[in-house]
Amino acid sequence: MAALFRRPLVRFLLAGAVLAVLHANLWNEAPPPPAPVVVDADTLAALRGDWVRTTGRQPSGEEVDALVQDWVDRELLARAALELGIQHHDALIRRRLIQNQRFLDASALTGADAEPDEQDDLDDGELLARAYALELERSDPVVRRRLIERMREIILSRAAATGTTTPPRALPAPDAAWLRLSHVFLSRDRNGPALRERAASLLARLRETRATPDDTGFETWGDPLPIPGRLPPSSPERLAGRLGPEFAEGLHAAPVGAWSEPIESSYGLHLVWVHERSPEPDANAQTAGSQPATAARDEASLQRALQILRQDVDVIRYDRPHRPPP
Amino acid sequence: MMRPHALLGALVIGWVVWTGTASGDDAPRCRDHDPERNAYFGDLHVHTAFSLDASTQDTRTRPDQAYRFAKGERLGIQPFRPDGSPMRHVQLSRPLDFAAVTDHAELIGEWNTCNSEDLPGHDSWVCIMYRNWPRAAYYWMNYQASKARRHNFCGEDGRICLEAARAPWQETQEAAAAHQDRSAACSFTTFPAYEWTGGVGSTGNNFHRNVIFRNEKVPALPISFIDAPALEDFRARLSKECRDAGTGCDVLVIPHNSNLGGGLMFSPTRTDGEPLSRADAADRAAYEPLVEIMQHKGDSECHPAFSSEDELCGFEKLATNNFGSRTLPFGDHDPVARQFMRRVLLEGMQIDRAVGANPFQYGFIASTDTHLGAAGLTAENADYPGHGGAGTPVGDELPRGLPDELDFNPGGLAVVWAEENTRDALFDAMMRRETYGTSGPRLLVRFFGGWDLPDDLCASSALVRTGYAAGVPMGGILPAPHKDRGEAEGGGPAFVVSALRDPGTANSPGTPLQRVQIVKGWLDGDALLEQVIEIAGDPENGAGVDTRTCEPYGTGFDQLCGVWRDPNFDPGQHAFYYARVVENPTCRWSQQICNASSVSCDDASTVGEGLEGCCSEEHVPTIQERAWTSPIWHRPGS
Repeated sequence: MAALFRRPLVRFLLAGAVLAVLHANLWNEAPPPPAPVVVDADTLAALRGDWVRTTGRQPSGEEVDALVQDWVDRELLARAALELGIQHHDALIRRRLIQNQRFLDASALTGADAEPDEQDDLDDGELLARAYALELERSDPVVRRRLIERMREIILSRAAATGTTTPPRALPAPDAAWLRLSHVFLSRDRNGPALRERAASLLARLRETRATPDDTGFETWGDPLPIPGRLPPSSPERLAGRLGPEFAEGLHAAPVGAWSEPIESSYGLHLVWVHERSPEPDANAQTAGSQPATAARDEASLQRALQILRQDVDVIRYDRPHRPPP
Repeated sequence: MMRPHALLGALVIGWVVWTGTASGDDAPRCRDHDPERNAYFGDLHVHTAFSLDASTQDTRTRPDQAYRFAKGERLGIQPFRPDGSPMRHVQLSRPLDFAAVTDHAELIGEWNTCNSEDLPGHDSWVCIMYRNWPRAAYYWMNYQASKARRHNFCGEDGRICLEAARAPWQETQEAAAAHQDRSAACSFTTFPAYEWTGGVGSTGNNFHRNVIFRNEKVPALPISFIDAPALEDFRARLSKECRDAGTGCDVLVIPHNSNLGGGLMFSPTRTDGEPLSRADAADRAAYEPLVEIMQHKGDSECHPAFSSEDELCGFEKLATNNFGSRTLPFGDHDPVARQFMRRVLLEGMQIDRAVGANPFQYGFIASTDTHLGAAGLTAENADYPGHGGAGTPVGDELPRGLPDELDFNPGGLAVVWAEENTRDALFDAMMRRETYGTSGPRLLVRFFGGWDLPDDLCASSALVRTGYAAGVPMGGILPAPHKDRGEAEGGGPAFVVSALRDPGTANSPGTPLQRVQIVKGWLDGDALLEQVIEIAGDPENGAGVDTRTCEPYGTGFDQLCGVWRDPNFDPGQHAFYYARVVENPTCRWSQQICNASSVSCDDASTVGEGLEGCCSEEHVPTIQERAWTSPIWHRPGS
């Protein structure tokens, strides 16, 4: 028998069998369930404390359950937002993380090392990368609130547009919002240090003469750019892809039907005339009479989405015996 | 004579018919439709778990996930923990506008067989090897496929594996359909596609081609190299099962990696050794409008050995010259000129002159050839995970040191100038070659040629309108000059290149441009000639990068524009002209990882496991990212 095991073919086959068993048991398992939501003693105490401060009395058992459910739901929304990668795309979150990381770095430096100029020179991209590496987006309460808010917006706008309340697995199509604009470009390469001055003087002239993009010769007012002066309706993301993220960011403050203040792009400054923006998907456009109906519909959509998020997630409360989901 | 009311009726009917046609299927449907065309950035070379080589490297991405990734979603990649969770994640900083999943048609049925317990052949020794010794299966199964041979477990005529190929092919089509944005936003376009993975000769000279379908009308199964190993038969099958099938199917084919083709990819002969006839050349051109000039496995534009006057031809060159010698210790040879597109385009014009049709009248794109399903992951940074495929697999643990072969790179992007981001508009643009490739960044490049483009066109806000009205865009063929309109009186054709640097993202601003060049190739008798002309920017701008910190220094340009008229133009000579736009130097991915790992080549103790390449003689620590436009052609007598 021992001689049999010494034969290479037999050893080869045995090794194959072992590997096949390992393969079947290790490689083909289903993906792991999501991590449980843990409601620990500190969280419960904080929820009770907030209640007492607001109402002046202790919460009943049912009220505690409702507080916990609300906290769990918010946790699920925050997790869903992180899973979508909103922390990488939302300008407010990015700014907050950069601020936090800058603060952390400054705190870590000793007095001798802490050169203020040095700190100011730190690159935002680097700071952000370090913040992500430290997972600051998971611990900062402001970021958490923003994540929850954005996730609610995404669920509700998706429900309004498509009727589905399944939480999206990917960020919604970037073209959900759009705007149509014309712009007069002033090149950084051509104008050098005089760029801002020239932009201000051109803006003053356009406003003074009540010039609009419909006027003859509009496209010759600025410096040439191989991007049209009159752009077709475009999403902020597509505009960012064409002219840089700072340009898309600057459009937030641009008025409709008037010249904007100079907006920076990757190539220079732009005087922008927004012709129209897509309607906002939120309730602002609703009439007063329809607001309660909209609010009720939104709440129903949100609850249906939360039901889906709650599925398969184990909630562990320290003050209750733990019963895993079926 | 027609009565007045009858005339009025006819006019009304005519008006209805006319306006009906004008606002029918041909009417623009995307919000950002622009008759002067937008640039759309995408990846037309993406492998997922359906590709056997990717699968044996434990890539688990399915086509659906690859498209999600291309649209901006985070993707988990190998290695995986025993519980199935990924140890690494990747995510694009900017979503793509379009993508095509192009899994290898060869072995796609074998992949399904070996992974499906209920399929016959699942328990064959090859499948047992695949499941237990994937690296051995990678070599053995790909070797068989490169010889156009089926495995025994595929049964008579390969029927079992062909049948098993239906499910993954169906899933590929369904994923493409699911992610095609049919709303007016037109935010993302997909193409059903696959790769025909041919090999020639004992060392597997690369013969690979991606097959991109215009729409959901596709053949029942992908036509693989095993099914049709001769190029002529492959095209005949595509014709029979697609273009001439009467189903609305349309297709184009994009060869890639001639740099690994040993000089055989663009042979002037048919598979049977006969010289290409006019019909052969025309047929090839009709199916192959584009070539992938650069990707994960290097650059195929030009080589310093054959373009010694061109100082930029050393870009992303591979250490070997055919596919087999990537893994075999023998079979490599010195580079040959026909591995690189500069020469291929010249030889195409030679064939055109001889037979009256140009088989190699290619436009350019680039793509990634990712084998992780990570479409468009081209960022040159320390997070680059490698793209797998012909690279070394990561194994069960996080890779130590450099995660890819030293001479590989994150790949490039395909850019298409189209009226809108729809399948038809992009496909039409690819057929007319109005495309360019980049080595990763999103540079914006316009390129027009014509007989009477004004010399001051760069100062005009109507550059694009004038370019289309008075010339042809990239990929076009110059028409014969109208002598009666005084065209060409000022000499040869004029060309304008207008380029913007990549605007970048909030976290990663784009790199300034350094220069714009036009590359001319032409035939003078038997001589194949080439010239590189600087037309804008400053090659001596002194810009560089400190490789110890990867901090760039010096200045560059946000935008560059130049008009150049060919002073040596001879209307009797075939010629091509393409533009090359070059960024300032930056650190290559490998150098960024070396720095992030604190490697100092002066101190051997800092060179950790897997980082030996950082200090090797072959290591090129910097890169000048670039874009290559499709050529504009002059064909005497056009």
